[in-house]
Amino acid sequence: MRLILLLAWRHLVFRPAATLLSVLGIALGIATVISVLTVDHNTLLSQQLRRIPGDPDSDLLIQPLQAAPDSFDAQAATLRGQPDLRHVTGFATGNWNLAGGPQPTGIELMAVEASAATELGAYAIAEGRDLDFRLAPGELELRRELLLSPGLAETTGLFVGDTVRLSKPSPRRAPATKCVDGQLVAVAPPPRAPGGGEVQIPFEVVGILAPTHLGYDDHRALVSFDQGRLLLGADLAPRFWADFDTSATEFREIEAGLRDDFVVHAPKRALAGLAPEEAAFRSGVRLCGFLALFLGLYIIFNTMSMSLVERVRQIGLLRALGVTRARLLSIFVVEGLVLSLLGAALSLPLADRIVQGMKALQVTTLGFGKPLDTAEVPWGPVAAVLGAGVLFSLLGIVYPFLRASRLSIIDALRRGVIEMSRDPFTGSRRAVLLGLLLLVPVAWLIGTPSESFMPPPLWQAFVLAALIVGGALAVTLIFSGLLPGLARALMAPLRGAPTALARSTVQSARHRVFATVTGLMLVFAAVFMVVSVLESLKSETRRFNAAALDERLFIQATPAGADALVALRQTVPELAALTPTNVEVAGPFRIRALDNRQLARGPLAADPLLRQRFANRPTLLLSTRCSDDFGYRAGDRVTLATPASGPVAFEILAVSDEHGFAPDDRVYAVASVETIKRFWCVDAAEQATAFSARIPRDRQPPVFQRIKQAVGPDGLVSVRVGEEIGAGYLADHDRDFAIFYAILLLTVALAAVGMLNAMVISVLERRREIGLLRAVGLTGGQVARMLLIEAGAFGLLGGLLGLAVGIPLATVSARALTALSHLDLSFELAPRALSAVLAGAILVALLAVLYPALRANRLRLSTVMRYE
Amino acid sequence: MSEPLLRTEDLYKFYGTDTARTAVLRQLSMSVTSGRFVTVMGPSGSGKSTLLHMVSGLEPPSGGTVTLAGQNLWALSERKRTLLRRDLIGFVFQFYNLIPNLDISQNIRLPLLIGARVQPTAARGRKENSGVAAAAADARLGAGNTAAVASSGAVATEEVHATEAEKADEHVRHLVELFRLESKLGAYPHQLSGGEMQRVSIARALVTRPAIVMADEPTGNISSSAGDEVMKLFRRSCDELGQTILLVTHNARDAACSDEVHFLKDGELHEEQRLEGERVTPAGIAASLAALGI
Repeated sequence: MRLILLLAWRHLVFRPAATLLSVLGIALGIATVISVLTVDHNTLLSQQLRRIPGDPDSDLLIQPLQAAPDSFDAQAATLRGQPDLRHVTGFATGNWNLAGGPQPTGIELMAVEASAATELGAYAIAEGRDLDFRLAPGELELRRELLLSPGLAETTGLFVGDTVRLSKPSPRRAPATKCVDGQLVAVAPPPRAPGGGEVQIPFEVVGILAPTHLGYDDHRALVSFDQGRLLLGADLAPRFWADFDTSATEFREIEAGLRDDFVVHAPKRALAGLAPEEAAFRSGVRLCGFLALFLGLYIIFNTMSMSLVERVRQIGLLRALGVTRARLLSIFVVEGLVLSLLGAALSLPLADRIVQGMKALQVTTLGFGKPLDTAEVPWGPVAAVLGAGVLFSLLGIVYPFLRASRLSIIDALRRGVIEMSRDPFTGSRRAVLLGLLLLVPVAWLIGTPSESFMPPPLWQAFVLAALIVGGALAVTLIFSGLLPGLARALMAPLRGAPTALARSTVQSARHRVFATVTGLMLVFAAVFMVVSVLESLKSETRRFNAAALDERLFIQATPAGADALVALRQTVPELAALTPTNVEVAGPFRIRALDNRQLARGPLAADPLLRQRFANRPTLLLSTRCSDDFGYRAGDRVTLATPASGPVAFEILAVSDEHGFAPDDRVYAVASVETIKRFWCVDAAEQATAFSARIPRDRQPPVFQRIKQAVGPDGLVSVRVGEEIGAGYLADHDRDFAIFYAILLLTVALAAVGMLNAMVISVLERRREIGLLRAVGLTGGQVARMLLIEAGAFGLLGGLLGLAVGIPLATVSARALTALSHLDLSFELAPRALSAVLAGAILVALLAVLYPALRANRLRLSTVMRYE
Repeated sequence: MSEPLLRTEDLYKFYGTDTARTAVLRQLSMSVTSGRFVTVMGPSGSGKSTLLHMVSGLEPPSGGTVTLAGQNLWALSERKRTLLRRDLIGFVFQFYNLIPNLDISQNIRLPLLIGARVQPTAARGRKENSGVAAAAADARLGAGNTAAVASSGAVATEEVHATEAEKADEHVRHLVELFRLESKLGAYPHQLSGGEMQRVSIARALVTRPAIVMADEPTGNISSSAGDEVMKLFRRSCDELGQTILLVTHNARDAACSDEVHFLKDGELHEEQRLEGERVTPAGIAASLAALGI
């Protein structure tokens, strides 16, 4: 044991720079992945924390289009019959008064089914007991029970066992109105007691809620749903909570299946980054992270190999002196373990620094500008990554050690190098290498447990990408002469002794060519893919900008700025016809009001009949994204729940981005101002405070001047130019992709370190050859040039192969993102991306060879030539 | 006559395939008796290093047997052969082969760290020097005689120490003193001259008092004065410690320090030219070489 520890420790301490480089390489590779996993985990957590605190934490909120009390049982049965829905729970709410404390208190009375607690976990009891949901109808009036939220109990001074009185609020305090044909009309007041007072119904407080979920609200009381039916009567407007298996189905499939009778909302999904395109973004980030891990592990493997190649003579000596193979292996295993454990230990604080940096910059796996409110470490996946790092370190020691220990002792003592066979990729070694290559996607699948459903386009893209990358690697493995041949061909135009020597070396060093070139290929294929996807996104955004933003002004008035807005419209005639942009009503998507005068441009411009229908009939224009998301086309009908008339079928007249604009969501529809008023009793003309106007580009400068003069500095009215907003969107893409660039930068650095290690090993293996060349007259400069030519050829080849793999990868990615996001993201070959990949690969290769070239120059001829 | 410590019978070695063979050693039989300083001499390419590698268990023969301390070396498993090498053989290579990360003290102790034990000197016994060889050695020893006297006292002292560790430490100290390495113990190999490194290498080989020390051209890579010093140390270890030594060399000066010299040419031992005892002189060696046309 003492020998093992002494030799291992001494080797590590004797070469501090090499040891430090190894530990840093290991730490950086592992830290990159850990930070990506941690940021992704906390991105989801932070998003989920932003949900409304008082909700039951269900996946879905389902609202019947026909909200009639006597339809509840049929609707409940319909929902419970859906195979993908679980924990379907009906509920209803109403505003009531509670008397029992010092003075009456307005409360939200919520009637819930039993499954709210038992299945959904929507509330818990802190004191007392739960409601009795098994009461027969005849018992409901005899045993009226309710639960209080802790906040309500505290403010009213009520306890378990107290009796309270519930009553509906009088019309003086809560006037009840109803929207009827565009007008708000009063509704009948609640029944009054014979003496003229409010009817007060006694209830017993049987329990106090825990302060989470439904118990969070300070003004909430719970009764059983059956009790609620009695109380609310005709005012019962039931809704439902439900969960679904996010790993088995997707929200949009559920919504599409229920949309004829229900409006389905997914409050958690909207916040939690589980939408398909967001899942794709996150998957891409995690995959880049694992590319970094793969390269980091490759560096570990190479570093350990390098350590062994340098000490073959030592291995021979120790064996000659009587150290058994097993004991010798222990020495190197201990070394490997020390390096990998040090690297793993260092990776944790390094990852923490990276995570803190990303948090400070608001870089998340859903893009830029979203704060991270949590700092939880996903220890499961992190431990898996750490384990993989340690395992690869050991493999990096064991594999070359097995090769070295098979050398005869005399060869080890004499030559001091491991000479690779002409074709190392044969038989079991090839199988092992292919197996290792599969480790990356398997590690990704294991290390990234599915937190959301993986939609088919994403799965298919992943499989295709794996086939593309795996196929490229397999071809180069099977036809092991291919890469050296290509490298030699690239050097062919050059002349001189260094070139001739580089070409001959490349031919015999197939393993090194494979390792170096494929490392560069993988990294730069990823770079090309990311740059191409970004370009596709930006192209699509440019098209949207051209339709929805260009030649437009967006005007926002504060509540005190109404007069200033009127004055602006008078001063600048081009602003006479403004489209309100912030009056909207809710449906399965947001619906905005559109001034009919805006129809002079756009899809209805040429058809006055359609314009008339838009103004007078229940019709909609959908944005392209809304159409793609929900599957509606022009001519379809969508049923919306309206306050005035209940469910109404709206006809979709056209799909266009020409009208309306939403800053954060491109999923919207527009209806005429009159339609909004008629069916929702919302007067857009009166209530809007934000507007848009179209100004042709050639008339913008003088108009802008007049607007600026009219608006003044007081900030009551602000004006934004559409082109600037569009430019901001494009900049947002760049920022959102910052995380990709950060990870890819690290992987490029790792690739460079890996290549550096490989070239150093090459120099070590060839030191006798290099020494001989120097002895017969080759200058140090020529030796360095030989290495540079070799590296340049590897870089160029790696870049070309990176493009050859990156182009199909980019195509597959674009197609998957199109299917997921319903955006038109066609792959476009950007010259910028092509040149960046080629130049980058060559530059990395040349930089990586500088140190090995220096080392080759420093070889002491007397030492390297001293062989029998 | 006691059983030889090392014996080969019909040992041979060839390289290449069945159809294109190059024979390096042919039907070689020889023996080394315990306590003797034996040299195998021959020109470059004669197969002497190959012979050494085969009798030390480093390179397998193509045929024949090697018996070391009564065991058929090449009938053992690789592990047993390794352990045998650890316990019975000390190596001195031409190119020192020190561990660069360990200091001199640790390099000397390396076999002890590996797990070998210091063998008792009683088992060795003193060797009776044959006259001419001893005289030649004396001529080379010169001023080093006082060290030889000091070493005998140290040997006697060693035998009274109780624990293994103390015995080992004492033996190491003795070797360090003998080899004049006291001031170099904390240094690293790259800080030493070639001669100094070879002295360290010899000290390492002797640290466990192995049954036999095998040296392959130990002076081939150092100056002649350093080489003289190295041969002195070998001679002294044989005389004072009863160390058995098998040396291969092409240097007649080195061979003249030994008790018997065998001549190897073209893979064959020419025993008719073998020298022993008083006949081991530079002139005798030169005559044998001339007779063999070397």
